[in-house]
Amino acid sequence: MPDPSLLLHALLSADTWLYVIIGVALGVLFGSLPGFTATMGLAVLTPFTFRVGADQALAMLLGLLVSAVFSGGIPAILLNTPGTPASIALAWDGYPMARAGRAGFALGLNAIAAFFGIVVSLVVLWAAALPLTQIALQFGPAEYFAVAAFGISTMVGASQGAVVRGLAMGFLGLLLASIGLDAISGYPRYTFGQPELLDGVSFIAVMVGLFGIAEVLMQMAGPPRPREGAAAALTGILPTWADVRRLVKPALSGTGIGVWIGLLPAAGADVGAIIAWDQSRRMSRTPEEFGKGSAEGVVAASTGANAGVGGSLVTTLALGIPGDSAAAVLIGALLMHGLQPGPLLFRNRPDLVATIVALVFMAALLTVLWGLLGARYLSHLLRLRDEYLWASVLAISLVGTYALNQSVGDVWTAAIAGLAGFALRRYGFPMGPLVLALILGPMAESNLRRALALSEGSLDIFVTRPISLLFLGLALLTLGWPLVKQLRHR
Amino acid sequence: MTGARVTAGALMVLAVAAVLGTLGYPGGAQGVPGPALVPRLVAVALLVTAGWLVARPDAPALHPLTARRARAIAVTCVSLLAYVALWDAVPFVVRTAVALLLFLRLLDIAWRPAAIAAAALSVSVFIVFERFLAIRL
Repeated sequence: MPDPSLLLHALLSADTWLYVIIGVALGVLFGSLPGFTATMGLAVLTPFTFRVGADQALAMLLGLLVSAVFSGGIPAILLNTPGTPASIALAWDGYPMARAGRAGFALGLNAIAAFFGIVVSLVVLWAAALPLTQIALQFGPAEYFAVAAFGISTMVGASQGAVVRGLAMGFLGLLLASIGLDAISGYPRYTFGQPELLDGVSFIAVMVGLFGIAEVLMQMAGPPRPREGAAAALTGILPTWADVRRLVKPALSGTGIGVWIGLLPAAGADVGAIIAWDQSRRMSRTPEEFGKGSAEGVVAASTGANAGVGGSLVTTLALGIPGDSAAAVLIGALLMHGLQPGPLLFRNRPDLVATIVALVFMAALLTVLWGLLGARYLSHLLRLRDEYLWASVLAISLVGTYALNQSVGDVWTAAIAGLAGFALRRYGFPMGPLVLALILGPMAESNLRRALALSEGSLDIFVTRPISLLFLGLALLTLGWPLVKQLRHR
Repeated sequence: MTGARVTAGALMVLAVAAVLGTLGYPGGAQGVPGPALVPRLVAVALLVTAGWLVARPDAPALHPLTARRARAIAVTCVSLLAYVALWDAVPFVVRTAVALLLFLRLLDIAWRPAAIAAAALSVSVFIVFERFLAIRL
């Protein structure tokens, strides 16, 4: 474990604070704009960091990463349009809460829960990185398939009561995920000779379509938003002690799940948030309130997403394996600055590990301050007439999607996903399962086939390895529990 | 209920097309399934669930739409597709300002505030992306 006094060096440096502030400000921009992601922000910022030293570059990059994941929750709560994939689950309860006139409370909860999730995940990064990476090293294709299957199984919980519709959307998501070159054989599937489809359907473009464009159309088709909601939104940003006591459980479970999912390569904050939300709903005494503005749902989704940052950094720094796409860009940036992430980093550069922990803490602190102080002003957005908000969301969504790869193909994907999403949502099809399947489908399929290749076609590999067996058992329980509950009720 | 049934029916058609699309894919080898297995299984599962929903739509009650609002939504959908189709043909600020003006007018915003909002929004988005983020629009 690194010497705690090393933390003070970064915390007491005015220069470091300045660079973290620059990163946090950029993260707010990249996180708040639908279509933009933390990954994109890191990729844009990395070339500019050549002009400064490695520590200053890290300060900006980590500041951006932390604040972008948090800031994605702001449009999710206020407009039901997640700024980043990590905030999809946050919209499920944050937006209904804002619609009910409690936008300030939702934004405040998000800020506090995000800070809590990040700080706890930093403690894990500091104290338990090495033991946890030993477990992560035991993961093979069978374990990854089992984790993905467990993630996909939560689509029943993400169906918001419409189980058959949710399953249909999950299968549609898995089908969309199979578009493009097959990861094992390289055979093109459903590409219709279009080179743009060889890499598959752009997940971000689909997300922008389903949650940005479709949301605008849904609101146009729905009842008008009550105007008194905007006035009420400006009060009650901080939770009461009674709220805090009630919300400790979802905060802890969300953080635990977020850290664990963050540790796993290829499963990022988006998956962590969705699984955390679903598991908190199962453990809650009031599961029926989830999806309708539950404070527990907001806290679980926010901690699940933000704790993933610390979890992902453990894998990134200790193994040199990216926990998600943002971490992959971060590894590239570290390498460009002459730093080699991997097991030796923890042994040879304890000062750097301490610096990183300090930088993430500083970024989290600035982010929670911005989240709490800004909540009052951000909720003023709800005072704008809906028509202007809709116009802004449409324009920014389409341009943000184009900015991903500067590809009109992505804009077409977003537009078509938006129109299809509107038709599906209007008739009660939930979008959560579709998104979950789209994220986890490729991971599940490729690892299923890799595992079968290793076992020469034997399914035993999934039940003879304890971690795989554990997650497959959890997946079965997650899928079967609602049925058991229904039978019990009868 | 008809709309819910049509939507589920469209999913069934998609599922059938997806199954048919996998017929030409190569098979697996040495116990490892080929590229057809997963999409085919998933498409069959989609077919079954969508078929269930055609038989038992059980859709939630819809908020009634006025003819004027229904027309606004339809025109928005068409103009959205036209906006993307004209992406490379018409300069960004002009294309976006016209589309937003049309959108705001459809929603009964008066000409003057609609024009100001459309112009301000398209110019500010252009400045943020082109100047600050160096993304060519």
